[in-house]
This record gives sequence, structure tokens and C-alpha cells, in this order.
Amino acid sequence: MNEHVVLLFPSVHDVVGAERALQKASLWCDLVPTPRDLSSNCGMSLAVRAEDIEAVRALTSRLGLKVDGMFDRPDGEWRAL
Amino acid sequence: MGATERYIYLDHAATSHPKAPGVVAAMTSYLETVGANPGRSGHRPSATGARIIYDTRARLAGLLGVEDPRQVVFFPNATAALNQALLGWVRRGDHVVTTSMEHNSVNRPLRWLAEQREVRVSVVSGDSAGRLDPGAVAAVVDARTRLVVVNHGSNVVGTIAPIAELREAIGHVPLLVDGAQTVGSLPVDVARDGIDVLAFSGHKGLLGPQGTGGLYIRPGLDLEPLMTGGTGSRSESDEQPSFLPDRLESGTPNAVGLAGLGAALRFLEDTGVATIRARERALSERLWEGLSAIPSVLLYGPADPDERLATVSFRVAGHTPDEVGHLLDRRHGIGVRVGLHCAPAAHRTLGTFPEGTVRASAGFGTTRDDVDALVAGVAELAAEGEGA
Repeated sequence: MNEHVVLLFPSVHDVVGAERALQKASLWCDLVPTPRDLSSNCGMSLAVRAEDIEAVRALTSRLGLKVDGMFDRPDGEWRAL
Repeated sequence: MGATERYIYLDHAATSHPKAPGVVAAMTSYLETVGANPGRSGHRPSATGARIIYDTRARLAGLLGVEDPRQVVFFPNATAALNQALLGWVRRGDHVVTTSMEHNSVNRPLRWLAEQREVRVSVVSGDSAGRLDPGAVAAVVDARTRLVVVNHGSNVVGTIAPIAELREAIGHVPLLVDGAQTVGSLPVDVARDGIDVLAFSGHKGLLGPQGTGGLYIRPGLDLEPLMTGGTGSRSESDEQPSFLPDRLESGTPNAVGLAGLGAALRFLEDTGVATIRARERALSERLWEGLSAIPSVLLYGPADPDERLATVSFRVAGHTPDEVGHLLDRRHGIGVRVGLHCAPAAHRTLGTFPEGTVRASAGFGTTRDDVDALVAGVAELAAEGEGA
């Protein structure tokens, strides 16, 4: 999980919608429980590959998807991207 | 009636039967292989459940011409949806305009509002066939009117209300449409038809299971939630979320039902609502023509099949509606609904209160032979004379 970036969303509807959009764009993603140390409105989050971050950002921006935040933890501590 | 004879079900206005192909399989699959509550837990079955609900919501949005599926909110049935729309929007002392053809799922909440919140309700009468004049509605609307609520298709005589013309006539007043009888049986586009809030049933024209239904709500029209509770979002807060659909969907959803509804929607997409409408219109016409050829049968509602759904109400001279229904059921294996159909106001408008009528309603599963069998059964009964 350390090499992944986690996207937070306001609700289940938003997570599932984002998953669909990323899959359609052939970007790998995984629905995961929201990490305990990250405060989120929704209990499910989307993990994506670090190398796909720019493509993911562009896609979510273009589609107006409600992303609450993006986090990774290169040194074991979550940090906002 | 032999054991192998198929029962002729002509009560689709109550609920559709059978359901669309794939519905039962989708529900069984949910119960057997998914099982979890959708989206509330972080595990795979929960994620699968969440995807299924999302899919159903997105398909319904597509069917209704809704841009953002978040504006489609699920309820156990159209009655719950209508209660949420009415009690969540109409405030103390407001003015509401409605028609004399409404179902009790509109009239009882309106009565509650009149008694509990001093709401003034103006009722516009339909004609003897239940038809609505948009001009008559506009004449009663004033600057303080909070809501116009209109039945789209009568569950008693199938009369279709002219929604687009109504919108034209009333201007910008919020319009709530009771689509319990029409969504799935008639093409509905919320933007084209000028609908602000639309209540629908999942288990009638949409061919899904009982326990499903919902509301479309125009963006910007904020309803107060009647129920608050767990939504699987903002769980750190004891405040109800402000965003849809969560704001109005508290508690465990009917996931298995919505899985079934999703399968029904796939079928409707493949078949086309226009095709279904054409088929039902033809059955409606055949039913009306067959019954009208029997001298002692009295028909109600519009004679023009373009003005009604595949629902026909009638009486047979010399017989009470319950006698007719009972004989059709026991002797001919035909199921119809007799009485007042939870719409006493409509029956008053039609002149059939308090005795009620016999209501035959065709649907997706109905064949021409079914219609002919009903007509033959009624003809036989009529020929037997009084009190047979």
C-alpha cells in the first residue's frame, strides 16, 4: 500500500463514480477502507498508482469528480498531495 | 380451471407481474453471492453492493433524462417518495394546488398538511373522464403557491395528464408529478416535461420488485429530510449530510430490491419505453373496444387510447364490482382489482363513488389472448343477468 496514493471522497456515490471513471480510462484503482489515520467523510476510498497521479488529477478535474483529498505516505506518515 | 392453466393477471396498475427478465436472477445473485450492506463497510462484498446501487441509480437517471444521478433518491415505494416530497417541501401556511384525480398517497399527506400545518389546498376538478385542463390549474395558482402536485396517470381510469402543457400554463411554480403509474410505461424526460420533482414506483411500469421506488429532485430544490440516521457518510458527525442522495437515504437500503430494479432497467433500455407504450396502447384499445361491445357494460375514462394508459375501469349492470371481480377470479382465472383503488377522489370525479369499479390493467406480460379472455368472461357474466 506504501506505493499507492489514496483519494478521499465525500460519499459512497462519489467513490463508486470515480472508480467507474478511472476504470473506463484504463487507470488502475482499488476500492479500499479509508485509512484510519486519514479523516474522511466516507468509509471507502480509492487507491491509485503513484505514477498515475497526473492522469488521475486530470481526469477527476475534467469530469468534475468530488475528490476531498489525495494522500500518500512515502515515509510511513500520510501527507497531502 | 386446470392446474396447468396460466392465471391471467390483469392488475399491473397494482404491481407488475411477471417482472422483467433478469430481475429474479439479479436478486438471487445478490442474496447468495453478495449479501453485504452496500458501501457501509470497507470489504469487497460491500463494494460490490455499492456498485450495484450506483448502477441502478445511474440507469434510472438515464431513463428519466436526469443529468446527475445524485438527484435520484430511492425510497421503499412511491408513497414514501411522495410523503418526502410533500412534507419535506410544504411549510406552515403555504398554498398548494392539486387535482381531483389524486391517489390517497397524495391526498392523505395533503390532508395532514392542511390539518397540521394550516396549508391551504386548492383542488382543480378533472372532467367526467378524469381529464385535466392546464388553464384551470393556472387560474388557481397565485404568487404564493408553493407547489402544484399532479397525478401523471390515473390508477383508476388511466387518464394521462398533459404535463408539458401544464408546465407551460403555470410558469415557474414548483411542480411535483406523481409518476407511479407512468414511469416505465410512458417516456418521461424531466427536462423536456418541465418536472421539478417526480415520484416513481420501481415495481409497476419499471418491472422491478416491490420495495423499490423513489424521487427525482431538481438541483437546487432542497427538501427537508423526514428521516435522518446513518448514511455511511460523514460518520464522524451526528448531523445529517447536506448532499444528495445521502441526505434523504438514511438506513439500510433495499439492496436486493435495487439489484432487481437494475436488471429491470437494463431490460427497459434494451426494449425501449416507446415500444412498451405502443404495445400497451394497442392492448388498451383492444380491451376498451371489446368491453364497449357488451351492452350492459359501462366504461369510464377517456375513449381515446392516446389519452390513457393500459388501465380500464368498468361496471356491469346488475352486478356489483366485487361480484364481477370474484367471478372473473374463480371461474375464469382472471385477476382484476375492484373497489375504490385507494383513490376515492378520482371515483368522485368519475361519478363512481362509493360503489367503485372493476379495474383491468394490462402490462408488459399481458397478451391479446388475455384481453380477449377478460372480454369473454365479462360478456358471459353480463349475459347471465342480475345476481348470477
